[in-house]
Amino acid sequence: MFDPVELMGGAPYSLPAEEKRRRMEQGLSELTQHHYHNCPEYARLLDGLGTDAKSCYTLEEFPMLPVRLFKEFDLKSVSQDKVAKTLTSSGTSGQSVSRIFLSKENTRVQSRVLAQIIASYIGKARLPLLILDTEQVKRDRTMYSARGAGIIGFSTFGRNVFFALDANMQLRVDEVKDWLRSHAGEPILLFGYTYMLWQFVVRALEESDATFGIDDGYLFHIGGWKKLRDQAVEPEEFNNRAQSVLGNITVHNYYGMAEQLGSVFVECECGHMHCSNYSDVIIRRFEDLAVADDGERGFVELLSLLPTSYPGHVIVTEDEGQILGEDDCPCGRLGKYFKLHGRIKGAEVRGCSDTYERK
Amino acid sequence: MSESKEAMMAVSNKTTIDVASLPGVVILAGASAVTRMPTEVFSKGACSFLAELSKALLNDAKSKLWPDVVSFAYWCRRSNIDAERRARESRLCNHLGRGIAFHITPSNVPVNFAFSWAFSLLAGNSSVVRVPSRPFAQIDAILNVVQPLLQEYPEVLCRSTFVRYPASSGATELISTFSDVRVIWGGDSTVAAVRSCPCMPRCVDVCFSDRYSIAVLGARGIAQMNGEELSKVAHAFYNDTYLMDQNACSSPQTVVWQGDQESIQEARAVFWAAVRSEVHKRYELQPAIVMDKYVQACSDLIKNRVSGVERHDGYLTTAELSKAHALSELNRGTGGYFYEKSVGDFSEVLDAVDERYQTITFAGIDGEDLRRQVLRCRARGIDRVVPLGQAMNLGLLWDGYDLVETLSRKIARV
Repeated sequence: MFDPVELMGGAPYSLPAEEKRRRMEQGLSELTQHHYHNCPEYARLLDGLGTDAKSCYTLEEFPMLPVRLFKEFDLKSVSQDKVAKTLTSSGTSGQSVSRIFLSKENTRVQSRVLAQIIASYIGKARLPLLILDTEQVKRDRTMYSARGAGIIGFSTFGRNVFFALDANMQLRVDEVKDWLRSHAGEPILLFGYTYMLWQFVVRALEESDATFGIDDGYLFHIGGWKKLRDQAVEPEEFNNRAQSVLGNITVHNYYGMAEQLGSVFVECECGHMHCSNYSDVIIRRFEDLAVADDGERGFVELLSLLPTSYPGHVIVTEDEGQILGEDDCPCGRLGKYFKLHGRIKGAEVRGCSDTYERK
Repeated sequence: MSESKEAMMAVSNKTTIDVASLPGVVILAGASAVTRMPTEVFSKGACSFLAELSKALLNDAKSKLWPDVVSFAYWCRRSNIDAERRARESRLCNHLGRGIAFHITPSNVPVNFAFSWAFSLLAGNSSVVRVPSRPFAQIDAILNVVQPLLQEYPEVLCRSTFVRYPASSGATELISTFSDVRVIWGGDSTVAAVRSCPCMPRCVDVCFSDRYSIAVLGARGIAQMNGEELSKVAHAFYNDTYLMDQNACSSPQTVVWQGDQESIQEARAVFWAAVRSEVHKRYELQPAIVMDKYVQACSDLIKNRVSGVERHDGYLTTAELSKAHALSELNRGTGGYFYEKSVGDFSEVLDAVDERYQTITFAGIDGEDLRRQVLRCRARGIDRVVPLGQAMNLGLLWDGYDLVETLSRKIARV
């Protein structure tokens, strides 16, 4: 199996479109073959869709696995004894849970790539890390949840990790201020889940008329915008209000599925979500899942070179997005950049199926 | 003696039941109390009332807007009721109603409650009709016409009450204690929930459980159709399926093609092309449905339930059942996802038809032949064999019951 870091080489946003396409097609074709031969469910799917695992596909031709299938099937391309951890994520739809089977090798490559991507924003040095969450979430490590996994994964980029919230999700204002004082003069790294940090940190500080006054730092946040949209909070307002209570920090929203940890999409200074060398995005038309034009809205298909222990290298999500451009973002990063519009609305169906109203 | 038994004894002595005073119950139309006293089946009062209701609905500006209300009005017209009566005259002349019928109607088919009530009225019963909690313009339209008309028909008024109540109010339990019949729509879990409420010893439950339906298409017949005939068939198929997102019990989930391989291939091509052009004209496609169908296709392939999937476009997906699967094992599609099976003769799949199968819709083939096959093979399921386009036509013969007969009782003599 190829090494994605070797294949894609160099800095994470360095490959121009044509070269990137060539290398991705090579890597993803190899992955498709690998999963075809090692994951029987995936093989049946490809056979049925009539797209045998041929030696080379174009990017748009790879068979897409709907993310929902990770809830319905145990999809893995390694034997059970090679599974080092099973990541679970519930998603917003509720009861059913996705199960992602990670081998040691797969986890390692995820961490390497995530480190490379994050380092391209903050540098290689480990910074004091303030987690805008509670330490409680990483307690249960047997079946570890995506939220806990995200925190543990991100913790490796920092040092002197400090959790801003107590077990009851209360902001420990004084303790955080003490911790910040002990790191005066250093850039601070902050990490949190979008809605939680909004609710329990930004809003909490605003309500108590307090600020952290950080001189220099970076905030990385991830997670759904649905609840914020319900409160009519747009990204720009989010950033402004976060900066006014936290201090002089750069805010980076990023996007990543539990099904594709590592190869995340980070929003640049211009507010654009970027594909790195390790990932790509294709927008699929709502009417028929055909490739959409640039700028047209559709389902977000995600490609990643990292998944080896489960067939998650080409997945189609139920998120809505649009391509904004490729290789020409004013921030200078190469690769496609795009905008997300959240989860698509669930279907409203008519009919007389069983709908007895329960107590 | 337990409290509920006492309560039952108390009500069984009364001739009218006060529905309005039950906790949580809101009366939308009809009487606040209903009589327990039955009438004969097809009573003059009930028949003339329905005939008047039919006219009033067809003249009502709001009602006319809704095709489902219009089809109810059309069903109630005098000539249809007369035909239904004449068909049963000799058989049901010694029948009386059972008393009070309690109707639990499905929460997302707006006009079903009206049919259930009309059937019960013709069977000589009083009705307590629980209408869906979800607001539907069709319900308001019908009840706005029903209410004033009831005032002119006191013998129908005292036999009709339309109610809403929250599930938590316990009204289902209370109404069950005095009902002589419970008409339970809404599928298996509703049936189980209502049946768990104690009822009077002689109470009859008429249950409409989850059912499953198929279409049988004659390949040669379809292949030989001209353009006009094909679009008629496609229109009919649309009404049976897409109109209700395939969620009705009588909507076909599997299309069984009967014929030789060559004509099946030909027929499939022209049929699905005609369906697609019909669907493009009429169906409002939601992105979530497109994704649901893709997910279902992938899932069916992984499970080996189907051997191949044809995604014609976002509007239509067809999935060929694997050899191992005679029929689709009651799996359902939504918004244009159909299973297909090719057979030389329909009898090849009849073994797989169990008691959960309800309707066969057919085209390009002789329906009477199909019906005879169902009878000859002594199938456990299949209660209706109707032409394509009539899957949704609710009538007095439903789910294998003659509802006037089931909702009434025969007075025997030697």
